[in-house]
Amino acid sequence: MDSEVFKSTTQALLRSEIICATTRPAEYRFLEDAEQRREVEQYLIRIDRGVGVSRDGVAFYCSYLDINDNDTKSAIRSQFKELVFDLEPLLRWLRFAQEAGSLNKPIEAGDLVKLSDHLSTAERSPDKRHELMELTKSKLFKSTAQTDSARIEQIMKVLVEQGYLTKTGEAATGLYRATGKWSYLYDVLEFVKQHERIEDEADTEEQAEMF
Amino acid sequence: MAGNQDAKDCLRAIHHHADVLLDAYHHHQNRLFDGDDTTSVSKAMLKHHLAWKIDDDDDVVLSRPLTNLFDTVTRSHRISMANAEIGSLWEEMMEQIDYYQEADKKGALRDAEMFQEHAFEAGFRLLDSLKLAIAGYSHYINSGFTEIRDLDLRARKNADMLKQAKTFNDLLESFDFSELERKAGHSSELRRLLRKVIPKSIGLCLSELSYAIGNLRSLLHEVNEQRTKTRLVNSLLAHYERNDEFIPTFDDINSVPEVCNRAQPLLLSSRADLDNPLYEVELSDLARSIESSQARDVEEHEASPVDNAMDIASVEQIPDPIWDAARQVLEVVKQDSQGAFSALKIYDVFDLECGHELWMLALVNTVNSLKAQERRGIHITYTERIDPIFNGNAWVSDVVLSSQPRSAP
Repeated sequence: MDSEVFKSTTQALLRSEIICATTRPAEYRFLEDAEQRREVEQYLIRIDRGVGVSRDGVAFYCSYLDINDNDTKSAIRSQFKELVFDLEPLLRWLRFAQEAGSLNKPIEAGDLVKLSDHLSTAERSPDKRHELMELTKSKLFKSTAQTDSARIEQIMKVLVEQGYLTKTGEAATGLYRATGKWSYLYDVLEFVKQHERIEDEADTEEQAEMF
Repeated sequence: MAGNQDAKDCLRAIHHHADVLLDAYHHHQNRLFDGDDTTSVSKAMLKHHLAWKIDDDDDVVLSRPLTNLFDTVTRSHRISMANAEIGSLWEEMMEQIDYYQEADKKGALRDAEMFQEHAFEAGFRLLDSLKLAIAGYSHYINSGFTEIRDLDLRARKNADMLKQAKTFNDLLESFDFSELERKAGHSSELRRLLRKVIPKSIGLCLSELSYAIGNLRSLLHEVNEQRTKTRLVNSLLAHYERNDEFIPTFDDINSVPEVCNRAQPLLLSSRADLDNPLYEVELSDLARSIESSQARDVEEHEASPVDNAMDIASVEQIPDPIWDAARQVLEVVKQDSQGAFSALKIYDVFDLECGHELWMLALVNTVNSLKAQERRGIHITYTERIDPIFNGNAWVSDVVLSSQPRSAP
């Protein structure tokens, strides 16, 4: 076992970082190995911590072992509130980014996000430009920038700060890589949808067609 | 413009003769056989360099650019045709072999030779169709169906191709190689075709097909996952649009969901061991760098006493737009005993040249600068967010002002 990677993995987990192949490739590979992951878990177990993994298996994070303890419950609730605080603009950006991408697929861990794709989408369509302007009016992406390019840069900057994207390649290339935090977010969104009993848009449309 | 005109003429000619051209492409190895219906087509294609012929007596053959175009536009059709054709070509080959054996048994040598040729022709067409069918699947696997932008349509096309590949696989598995072995007879060429070439090609085709089915299945799984995520995002956004005040919560349940079980950060603080001589050099360097980074240039200013304040020129104080706005807001709050006023929402209304933080601070300071009695009449609610690292601290994200009902004397 590589003790340096063991150390960096454990410390990153304790700092509440989400470990994925994009943000921490060495630590991610380390946790992918069942034996090494068990070593980390054995270490964390003594402080009531474990290793959580997203449903798609691409993101690892630190979790509590006993979630019935009142302090733990309160910590989880506060973590959840923090995540959903700016959810709406984040979802609106997800939709914008999907339509801007060349493959029209939802953003997933490891995807390349190009600033130029966003820019050309905003320049091509007045609706998309309006969406972009609305995004930068939100608290999360607030910007007084006057150009599309500056608005997009502000959005990317916030997403990097929040750990959803990392910059890739040379500076100023406008290339970003999506992190495993999206996987964690999708898991939470799935829970929100089920808990709030929100129907799928498609289901609603199908039902409408039936009537 | 002449170039464009030529190109338009050429496209019109293809459109005009589409049926004959496609017939030649599908059924006559790209040849336009001499006939009444092909004369004008041949002339038009030769004119636009989309066909060629060596001698006047030879057939006109469609050129590569045109057949490439047909390859592209008929890909889907050809794959399905190839799949369907393979079954009938197998039957046809077997039938011709039966005729050949019958003729051979009767000593009808010329007939036997003819039926053997037909069997070969059917056999080689079968091999061609196998290659074509497989090539079609690899095209879709390489592109991942991304030429279709709509995710639902992409999934449907993927599912159709998977179904088609499975049917094709079932067809190939139904071919009885022992029958080929039995029918091979004593003709060495036929034996080679039936015992070696065809079984080998079908075996290769089956293994490539099984690879294709695996890939199509995983592509379908991937695109279905993407559809689920897209629907998830869209349905939540629609919910937000329908419910302005929607904030997800699970406060209504006592337990916490496992999916949200992500631990808060634990602070990892470290301290240098000042007594350890090993760190002495590093620590002294560090200490020196801190010293220099803290050194600042201090502007020198000498105060001079004011002899007569009345002589100093008066300066008009320009009202501060932020304070003005804050005072206006307080007037409205005092007058409206029912409403609650969010600092952030008001911020969006005023075109202020300051950030959120300064605006909220200005509002709170304006409240604090009021006379005690007035100040008691205004209630301030702070919307807070727990700091992700120092969880004992909270960040104020909004300030809500409301008029406090006066208590009865």
